[in-house]
Amino acid sequence: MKPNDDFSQAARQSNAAIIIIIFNLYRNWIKRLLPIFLALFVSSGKATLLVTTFGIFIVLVALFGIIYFFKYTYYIADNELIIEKGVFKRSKMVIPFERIQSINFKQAILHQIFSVVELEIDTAGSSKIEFDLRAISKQKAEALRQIILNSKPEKSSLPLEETTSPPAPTPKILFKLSFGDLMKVGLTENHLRSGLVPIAMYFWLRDLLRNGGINLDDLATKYADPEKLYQLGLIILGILFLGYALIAILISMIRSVLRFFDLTFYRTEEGFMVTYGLFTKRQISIQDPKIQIFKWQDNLLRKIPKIFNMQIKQAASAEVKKKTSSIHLAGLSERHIHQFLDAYYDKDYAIDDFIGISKWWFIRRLVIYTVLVIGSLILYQYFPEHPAFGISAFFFVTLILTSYLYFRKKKFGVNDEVIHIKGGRFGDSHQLIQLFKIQGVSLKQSPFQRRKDLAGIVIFTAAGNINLPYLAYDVAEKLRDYILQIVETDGRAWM
Amino acid sequence: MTFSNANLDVNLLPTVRQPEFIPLEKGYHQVILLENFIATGLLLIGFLVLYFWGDLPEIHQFWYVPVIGIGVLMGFVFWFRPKAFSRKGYQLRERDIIFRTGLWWQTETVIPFVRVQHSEVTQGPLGRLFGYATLNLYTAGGSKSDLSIPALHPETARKLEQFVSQKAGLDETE
Repeated sequence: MKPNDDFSQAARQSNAAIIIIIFNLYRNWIKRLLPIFLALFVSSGKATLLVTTFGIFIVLVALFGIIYFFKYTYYIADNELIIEKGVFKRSKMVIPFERIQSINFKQAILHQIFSVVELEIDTAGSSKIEFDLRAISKQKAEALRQIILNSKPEKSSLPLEETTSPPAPTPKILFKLSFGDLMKVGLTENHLRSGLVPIAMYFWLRDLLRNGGINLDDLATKYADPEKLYQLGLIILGILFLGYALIAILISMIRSVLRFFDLTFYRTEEGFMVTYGLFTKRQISIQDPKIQIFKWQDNLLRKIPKIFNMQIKQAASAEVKKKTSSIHLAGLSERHIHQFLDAYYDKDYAIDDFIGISKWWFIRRLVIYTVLVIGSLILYQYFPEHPAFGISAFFFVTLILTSYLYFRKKKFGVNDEVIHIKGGRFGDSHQLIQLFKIQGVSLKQSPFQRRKDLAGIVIFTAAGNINLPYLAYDVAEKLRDYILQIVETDGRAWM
Repeated sequence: MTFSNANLDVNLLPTVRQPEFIPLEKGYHQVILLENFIATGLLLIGFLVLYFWGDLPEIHQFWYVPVIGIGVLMGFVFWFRPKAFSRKGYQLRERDIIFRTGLWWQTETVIPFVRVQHSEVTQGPLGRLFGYATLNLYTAGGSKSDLSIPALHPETARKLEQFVSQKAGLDETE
């Protein structure tokens, strides 16, 4: 079952690729040509003409797909992955191993039927390499991945620590999400975010009716008793809201089950591996050195079943700084997160002492927003016909509330390995960064902060910046010096 | 590879807050002055073009509004830029470089040499004319963590660049 696993000879994709290639071709071309077919049909009115052109199209595309498959070969030579393809125009793609950052697998339904995978290769190049190894068998994909990732240290000029012998092919399962966990994820999505849908639908309907000669606003003023209309409006609004809530919850439940179905976390030799998905299965590998930030957070709803969303922020490559990638996962319990962190850190990451931000951060906002609330209310008093002033007063009151929550939750703590930053408004968020992975630090002072002897700190990492506003100046300074001390003496490579 | 990671007494750590910032070249004030005059000139030319050829009848009646506007704006710029420039400065330490900038909103950015990915010295047209260079240090931390130290003597800039890239170990990988 292992014909030339060294990939030195040119090989075709798995036979199943024929079907997948043809299927994709049909999908793309039918999307483009459907209007033409329809136009042909409508203008001529002859069904036979349509059927024959359609038949010719089907056969031609299938032929093209088959030839494409036979002309598509890939092989490995000199630490490079080489692909030769093309029916009319031949092309040769060369991808040096050292530019390959990670290799992920993807399986749509068709792939699952034939048990093949599509390779998604993340390269460290400014120009995007169009890479389409659509279908190869799972074992081959796995073998290819091992060869490419294992050969990397040899070519790299970086002084890496002793390279591990060929990684164990069986990764250890860290944890798995159950169906119940996924239902929880669906139930606790942020449903408010899509709350604009019914409003948009109302305006769309109104426009539609107006184009048809019916003006809702006119109708209302002409025929209806305003009192009754108001009641009717309330009822319709209620029905809309209920229906919307039900549909939104149902949709997000189905979506999260499809997306995160069978989410399984593995610990491998070089890092982590995640597999998930029902119709489209994905296998994502994360290499330990590339992980820069762990972030997990909940929201008001997720507090009930106590589940978190998690983001693993990575530096995609050393050369291309603009390109960062992060992996989003949902439905993890606190226990899952700790299992994950325990597997990643060999040192203690738990921190007991947290330092909050200065009260002046909140006081300053309280003063500004209070002035704005009072201003809006005064304006509303004088111009009651403009409800915008009333709404803005309400808006600034909510800003005071959320600022207070932010102020209460923003905290940081350090030990000799990590910095842990807490935050959030209605929910809680946590970020964990290894100190030696920090790229630089800024201290910032506004005139106000100088008067109160405060300073903000910005921590730069290869996966984004982190702000800690309004710390006491000596605290900010100590934190900065401490981070620098660790970065400058810790010999580990940040990536 | 060895590294020590013992618990440290935070109070014993060297601190950055020392008044040893090296100011940038004083002569650069001339360049700022020239830039300000050029900006003023461009704004005035724009105004004159509008005045004589523009399709704006109001400008003949209220010509003093844009003139006063330009005056106030450039007055502020002439006052502010030299002041802000005088506050800029850098500190070179054993293991990192610090750059201070900002008059009202002040920022001090520290980049450890071991995190510098790429460094270069650049010279714009005015820099070439007056003999000043800019040292650019790039890290993986995104554009906000990149340092750009202007108004250096070209020789200083080159020396600094060499020093930093040597410390960052960039030379060895060449």
